Amino acid sequence: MSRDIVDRLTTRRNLLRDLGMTTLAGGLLSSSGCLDSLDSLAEDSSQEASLTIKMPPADSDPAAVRIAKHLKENLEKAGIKVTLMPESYGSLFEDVLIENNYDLYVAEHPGGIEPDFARTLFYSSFIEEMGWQNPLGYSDIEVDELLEKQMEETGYKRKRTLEEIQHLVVQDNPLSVIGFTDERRAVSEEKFTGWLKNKLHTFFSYLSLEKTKSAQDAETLEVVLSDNSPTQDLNPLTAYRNLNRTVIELIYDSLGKWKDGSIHPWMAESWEWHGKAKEGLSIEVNLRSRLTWHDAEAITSDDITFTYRVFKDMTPETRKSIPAPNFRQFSSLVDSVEAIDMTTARIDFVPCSSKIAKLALTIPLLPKHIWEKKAVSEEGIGSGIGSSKLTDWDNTDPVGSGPLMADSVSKNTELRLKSFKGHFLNRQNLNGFVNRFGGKPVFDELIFNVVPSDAVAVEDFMKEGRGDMTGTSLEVKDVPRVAKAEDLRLIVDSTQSFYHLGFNNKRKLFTNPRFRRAVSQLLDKNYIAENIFNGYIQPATTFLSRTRFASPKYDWEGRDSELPFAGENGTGEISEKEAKQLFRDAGYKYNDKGELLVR
Amino acid sequence: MTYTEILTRLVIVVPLLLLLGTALTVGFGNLKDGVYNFPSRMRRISPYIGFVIATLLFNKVARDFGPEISRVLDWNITGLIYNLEGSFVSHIQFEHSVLIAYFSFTYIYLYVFILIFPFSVYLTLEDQKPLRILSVSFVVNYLIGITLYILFISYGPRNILEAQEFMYNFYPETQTLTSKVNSNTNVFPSLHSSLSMTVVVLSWKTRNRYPRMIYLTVPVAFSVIIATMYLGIHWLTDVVAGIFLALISVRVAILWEERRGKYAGYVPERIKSIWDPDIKQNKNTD
Repeated sequence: MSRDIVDRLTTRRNLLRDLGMTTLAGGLLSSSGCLDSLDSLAEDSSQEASLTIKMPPADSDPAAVRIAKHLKENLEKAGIKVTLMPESYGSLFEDVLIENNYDLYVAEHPGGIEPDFARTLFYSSFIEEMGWQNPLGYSDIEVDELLEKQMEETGYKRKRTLEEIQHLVVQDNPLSVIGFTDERRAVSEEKFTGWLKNKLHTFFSYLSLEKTKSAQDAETLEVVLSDNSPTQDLNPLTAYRNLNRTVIELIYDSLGKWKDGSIHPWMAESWEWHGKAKEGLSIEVNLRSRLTWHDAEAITSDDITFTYRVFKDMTPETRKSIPAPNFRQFSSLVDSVEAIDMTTARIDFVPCSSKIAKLALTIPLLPKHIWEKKAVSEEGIGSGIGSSKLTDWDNTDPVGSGPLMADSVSKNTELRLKSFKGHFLNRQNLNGFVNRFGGKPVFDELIFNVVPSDAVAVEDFMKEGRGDMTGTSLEVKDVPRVAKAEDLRLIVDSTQSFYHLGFNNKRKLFTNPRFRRAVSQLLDKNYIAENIFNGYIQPATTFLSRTRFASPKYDWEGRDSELPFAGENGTGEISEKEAKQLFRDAGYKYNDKGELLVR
Repeated sequence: MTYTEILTRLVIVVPLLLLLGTALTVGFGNLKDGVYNFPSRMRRISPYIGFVIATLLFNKVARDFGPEISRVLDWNITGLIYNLEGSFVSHIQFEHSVLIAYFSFTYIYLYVFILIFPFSVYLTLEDQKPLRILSVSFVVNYLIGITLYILFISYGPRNILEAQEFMYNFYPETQTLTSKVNSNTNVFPSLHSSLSMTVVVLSWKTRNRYPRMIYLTVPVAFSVIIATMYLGIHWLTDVVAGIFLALISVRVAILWEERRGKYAGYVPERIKSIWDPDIKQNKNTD
């Protein structure tokens, strides 16, 4: 569709919405009949607006707290009462992703290199077959159709579709993207080197490290974390944050792995495509010979079929734990899976391009002989009952097939991994993509040490030679500590994660896109980037900003292109008058005390 | 400085402070007498000390299951407290390195000192009533405190950046120590304040026996209470609640003291003789 048609459609949609509101109001007025009831309508049903903003505590994410406070200050200027509610990550994501119990929240979304991640974020709950509610409660049929369409498209067509999606979503503003994070880590180059080869704390980064000349007998890599979650939960089904996901990837291998823009055979030796994208492709995957799990049991195609059935089955019955959002995205691509022989399986996909279908190959494989005992029965999987037990399990004695295996876990203190000698990377005759990683990783042991803060991580661990790398991104205020240390190096990686302000689109106040848009114009993204992040974030308007599908309409030119800050750009300051005008323009009224009124 | 270093310093500095403080309060004569009679007096008070230690151990266990319960209840009162008292804490945070050093020292060293100090002083007395009241009030303080910790999720002002975290910024290793003792979601009520206040109340009640005690406990307790807020760890609300908790705990302890004679009758003589050397002679010890 050409852009002007999109514009017209958009204008038409907005017009319809406006008309709808006016007609409703008009209807009320005409049906009331007399002035008295008009007065009582105005008095009785209006309340002063108030809302709660949830975010992690400053111990976990001070930037999120600052963003929330900045917004609170400006919302209060606009006559809205705000309560801040800090919550631990677990509680926060449970409230947001499962219970939908929130008004607004500020947090980081893990993002995705493949724009299809937007599908899990914005696909509406009615049409979505698996019943997973998108956390924002956003639903727009046009957007749904476009999200389905982009799954099947490739090349230029797909880019156009994704651009349309962005235009619709950014305009509707179910969430407000703040910016894409640059993660900051300290490394010591004493024992290991090769830190710049990949983004830090990723699977291939750990696999690509080499020993320094002076430390050829180094055996242990020590990573310091100021977040204890990787020691709490090693269940691949519930790794909803990137921090945990990387640790899980080290322990649990998958059929294919993403690197440098494509998906390469990993546990699979090869694969063959059949069929057409329009009708649903199918892929025949051949496992490498003689693969074993960490407990020496053989890996067979039964493990493949088991794994894909479990992932397909992730339903919202799992109230206690948070299902990993990206796996839901991938498993929704799979229609069915079947074992052909001991080492071959066929996966049938829903209609989508091969590029997208391949994403499903990056799901971690689960050992059937261990996980099926956790489920109610084989029948349990496929009905949701069995699966809910699988996510309630913190799996602190994980058995995977990855290059590292769990040695010991001490919750809140440390996680020790040791190299898995039986991994195929230790074989002699490797060819293709995996050949680059023969014999890796170079260390025998990987220890994750949990400390209470980044300050402790740098001062008491890194500076004292008790750590090779900080796994968690350093708080902005602690970055100067690294500069002061001579033996440490600061490495900054741009990531796909983005900070955002999420609205609960199902709650009364936020069902109105004009209200959401007005709130978003109280956010000064420049001020946030400079003053809160000290420049370690790239402000953005669209959630696809760091992909090549970013709509050029939203190139960042010093301000948000759709919803620019309504105050003085870069200062974070807005006058009461300007703030209130935003809401007046959106059709809201104020009482004598300057409080915003909502019906 | 590392965590082990701070722990070592604690183990050296606090006993020295205790020795000095006790000597100043009770005088050298009583101090010598106290040391001489320590084994027998310790034996007699052992059930009460036992309860205090058991409570501390229960506290440790509660920290394992407590957070789960807190999360299920989901009674997060942080926003409520902030809406109630506003930025009071940030207003008392005059940043100066001397103040930061003093209050950081206070929050850790002087706090541990004031917790043990009354035990050390009262062990120099033959009459163990003050020791009993002290022990019971500590136990009640802790039990009520732990219950409130489990019921509510409460983050301190530093966690919503309503206050700076001076101690954790300047002395990061202290956070390793404090995180082993309590969680950042349990600032309500301030046990630092309640236990320090309890010691002040008791030193007032025993002023006839040791009039000098109050000259030490009041400034130290006052410093500890200010430190909890100056360092951005607690709200004023937590401190006020802590002070109330102290008053309630002492009241309960006194009630117990008045009634204990009744319950002492239920304990079989054989058991009582473990700690009461006079029991064979059928003599009450006080």
